Amino acid sequence: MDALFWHRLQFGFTIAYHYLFPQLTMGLALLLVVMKGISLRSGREEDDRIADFWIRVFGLNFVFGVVTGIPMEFQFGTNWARFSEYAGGVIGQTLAMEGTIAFFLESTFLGLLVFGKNKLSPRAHFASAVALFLGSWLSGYFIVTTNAFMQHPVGYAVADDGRLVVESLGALLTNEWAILEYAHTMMASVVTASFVVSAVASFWLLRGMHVEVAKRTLRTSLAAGLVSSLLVAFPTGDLQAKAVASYQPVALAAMEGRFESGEMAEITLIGQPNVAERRLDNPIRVPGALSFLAMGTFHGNIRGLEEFPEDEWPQNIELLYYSFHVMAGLGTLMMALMALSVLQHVRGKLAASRGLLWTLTLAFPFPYIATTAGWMTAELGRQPWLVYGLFRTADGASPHVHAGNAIFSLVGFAGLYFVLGLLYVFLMLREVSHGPAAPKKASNEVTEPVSSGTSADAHEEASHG
Amino acid sequence: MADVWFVIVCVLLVGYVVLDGFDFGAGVLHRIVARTDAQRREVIAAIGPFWDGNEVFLLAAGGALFLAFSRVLAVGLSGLYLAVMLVLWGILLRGISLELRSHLRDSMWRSFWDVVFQLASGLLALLLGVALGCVLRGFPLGEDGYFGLELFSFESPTRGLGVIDAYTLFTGLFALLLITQHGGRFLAMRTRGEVAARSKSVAQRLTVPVAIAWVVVTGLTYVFARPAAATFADRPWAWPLVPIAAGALYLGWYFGRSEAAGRAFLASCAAIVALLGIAATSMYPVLLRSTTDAPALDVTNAASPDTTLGLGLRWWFFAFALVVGYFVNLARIHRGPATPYGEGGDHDAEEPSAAHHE
Repeated sequence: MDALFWHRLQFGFTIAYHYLFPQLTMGLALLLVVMKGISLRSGREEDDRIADFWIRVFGLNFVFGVVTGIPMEFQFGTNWARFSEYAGGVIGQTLAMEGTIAFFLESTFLGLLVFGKNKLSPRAHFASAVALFLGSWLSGYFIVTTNAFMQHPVGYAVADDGRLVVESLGALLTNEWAILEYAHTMMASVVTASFVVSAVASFWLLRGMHVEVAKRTLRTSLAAGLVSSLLVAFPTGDLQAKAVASYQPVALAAMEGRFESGEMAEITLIGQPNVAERRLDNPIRVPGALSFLAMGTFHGNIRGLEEFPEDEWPQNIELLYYSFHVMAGLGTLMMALMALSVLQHVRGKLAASRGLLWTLTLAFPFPYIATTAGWMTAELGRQPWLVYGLFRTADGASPHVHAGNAIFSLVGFAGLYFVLGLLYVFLMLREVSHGPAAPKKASNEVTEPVSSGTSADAHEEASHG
Repeated sequence: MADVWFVIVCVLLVGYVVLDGFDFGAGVLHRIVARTDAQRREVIAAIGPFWDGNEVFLLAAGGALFLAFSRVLAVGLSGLYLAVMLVLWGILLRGISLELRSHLRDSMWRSFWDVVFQLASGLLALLLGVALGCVLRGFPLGEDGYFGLELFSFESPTRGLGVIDAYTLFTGLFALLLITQHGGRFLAMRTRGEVAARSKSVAQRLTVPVAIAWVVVTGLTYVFARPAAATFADRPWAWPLVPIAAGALYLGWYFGRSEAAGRAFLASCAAIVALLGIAATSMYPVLLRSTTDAPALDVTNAASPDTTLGLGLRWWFFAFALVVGYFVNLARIHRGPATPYGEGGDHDAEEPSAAHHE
């Protein structure tokens, strides 16, 4: 294997792992605004405890997001030196903005949210939830604009030495692709948060723990889950697919495993791409659907891979095809699950449907798998380009970092991230099994325990008591 | 325009060393000055509100370098590949140990993270100095403008074939001593009782070793990083930085002795700024010095075009004002000694489990 493969694997692995955390925190940031808003309106103490619990989960995930995010910025320089040299003038802008502006907003207001409960008025505490939401969603925007530039470069010029420079910061930040990708990505992150929140609440209901809190939580998370899982598909996913169809037609062909061109293009539900023989094995298809979805008419001509030179094909057509289908399939499944749950909830039968509660509890990995697959669809579809149409991935890696070095660091990341993963699962399970704080007793509100107790001590005592 | 960005990058890097320096130093001293769990929580509470904000300076410096001198970022980070990976892992472990320590009230759990925290902090302090040594000496740039350095080398340090060798090991040790002292000064200001007393005494006792290490490293720089030393010698207007740095180190000792912990810490900050000012003066206008015939990367040949630099400046000053405002506010809120959470006073101890309390 040459070094390029290992560079790609390392970046792919570290970013997919990193994104497990921000997708929950970004979605949760929106749900926290809703939860704090509900608690502000109702004034009920259990609504307040729900929000507190999820602020705590947010904090834990934020830590893992921060520590796994720092290596990302540096890997542009360490592993992708040629690319950084070529495009740094452009993507350096958005990455520097992310680091300077958005991250500060986020860490400031997370501090206020976590520590400010007793110092701030309920309104001000709600406002810091809103600010945290804005900060984390702004952060996401700068990262998405960076990726959107690689997918669909705009607002740049080529300097005399062949490197890219920004011509219009406005055009770079309002890249059509960025706006579509952002809407799709952020809706997906709300789906993730809704599924995680619903899974935890369903788990509590199944165990008969925190019943009242769990029911009230589900009301919020199921509503958010249904709305967001619909919005992920229509209009955001739909528009994103149309953008792929018009700007990266070869990627669309590969995503669908289409080798031949033609009207009335079908959507493949199941099938195995056979690249060597240029066909799809055992296909089950819906005729015309792809033409309709991508072009708005059943007679739209969808170009197959045969129309493109092979050196412009995405290199890993099979993986790209499966990524796309896993994402779309899970997306459909999640939409159906949320619709069913909301229906049962409205009929007042959810708390008694143990089967559905079990399904909700076990379904939380689906959105993580779907977002990872969706991201792989976007990035594998971009191949063989690093900056679409301008700069090939093969030209982007660092010249002096050989495969031995890249494997060494990849193995290091794998080991470190494995340990991090164990710690994360352990701490999350612990949070979930402890659940929200016990209801406050009247006496507790007057005198806080002052003894030697740290917060963790108080937590331990509460949970064992 | 490129000169402005050179200054910006320097300011951010110096800011990073001064700010993250004190929490690296606090990390190195963590298990030495704080012996009981309550004391260790005091140390964590002292740096708790600051450390992740401090780290943003590294990201911001990286971002500025990326925007303004992308070739320098590309050549430097890829050439120092394994060393950068060590730094990244160190930062990761440090952040995790700080944040997770408080999650369980269990002595094995906590002492495990204490050790990780100390080792990662020490490694990072050392590597900061190593990196500075490398930058002062220069890199064996190849014909393609890139280089690749091995992680360590036992050959003559003049040739600069390894990231860590006889020269950079000394610059690293100097940084470790200086940063440890800096952390001690910070803890003396932000803690109380035994921890503060021990921190002060460590910082005071490090004064002579720091001074000796400075002299040794200066001597070694004249031998192994001649061009950098010569550049500084050619700029008499910058010479006052030397007495300023020496004076600040002395003032740190003087204020430390007279129990003025806040002033001692400020003096320590001033010393680090002056020392790094000397380093920056020995570099300008070069960013990556070359030890071969290949041309060095400097503000003219490594800068992004003026359009990019100009666009960047416009929003950067706004963003930097935000950052400064954030820090001023943070420092104002957390003045004086910190109180671990649960004992009243400020709540900057054990994030994020502090919310458990409510």
